Amino acid sequence: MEEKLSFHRSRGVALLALVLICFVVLSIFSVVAFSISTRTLGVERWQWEHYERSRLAYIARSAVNAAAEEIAKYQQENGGAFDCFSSNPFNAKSVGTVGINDAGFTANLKLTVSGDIAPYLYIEGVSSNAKAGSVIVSALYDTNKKKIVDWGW
Amino acid sequence: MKVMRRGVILVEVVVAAAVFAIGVLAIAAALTFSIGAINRSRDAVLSDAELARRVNGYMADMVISHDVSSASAAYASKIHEGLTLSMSGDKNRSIKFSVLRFGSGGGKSGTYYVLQRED
Repeated sequence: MEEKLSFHRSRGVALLALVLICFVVLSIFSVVAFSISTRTLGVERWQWEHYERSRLAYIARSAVNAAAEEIAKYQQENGGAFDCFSSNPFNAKSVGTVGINDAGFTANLKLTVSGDIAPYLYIEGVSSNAKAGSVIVSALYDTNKKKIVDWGW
Repeated sequence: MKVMRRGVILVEVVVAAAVFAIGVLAIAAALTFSIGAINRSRDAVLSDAELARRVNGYMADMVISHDVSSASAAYASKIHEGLTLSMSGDKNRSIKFSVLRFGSGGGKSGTYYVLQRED
């Protein structure tokens, strides 16, 4: 009778131990799987933000280059004068804004042309949207060489 | 009485196995999702790198050539034309430009936009 009782008790303990071990193993697996999923989603989100900021950077950079081309063309047609947007760019800066839209993409562009230390003009392009914030690209335009001599971002 | 206890234990084991199986399936689903996301990321990175290489090439051509005339770009489509960027100042000048789109705009590949000055 005592042997029977002992056998039954130990069988219950074994079952309980098995359930507990399974529970612990399952918990560890769950934590690992959750951690992997969270990190994967984090990397994907970072990748998407990086991509959005790259898109904004290309818009700002090409806008700065377009402004430089406009000034260079103006200089070619006006004997080297660089008062393209303002009579005195070293005292008054010129600012322009425009929106760029395509399917599922929106960006606002702000372009500023101002005088830096003569003979350089400072051109700054800021493109922004709600998803990725804003990206600033700037350039120094040499009015003697009629081209961009330095980029900054 | 003995038969009843055996039956109860069997039900308990079946329920425990079912709970365990549900847990394992959930973990398998999470891992499958993670592997899928990693594969998607790899494809996106590869296609974006190729696209960015093309845009960088185009940008480098524009900047290095110092060509002030408007140019066309391979692999790009013009999505907006004749846009103007009005600049403040006493000259009241504006920059006319078009917007080029690199990339298909759908699928795994991304899209990049570039402004191109118009004459």
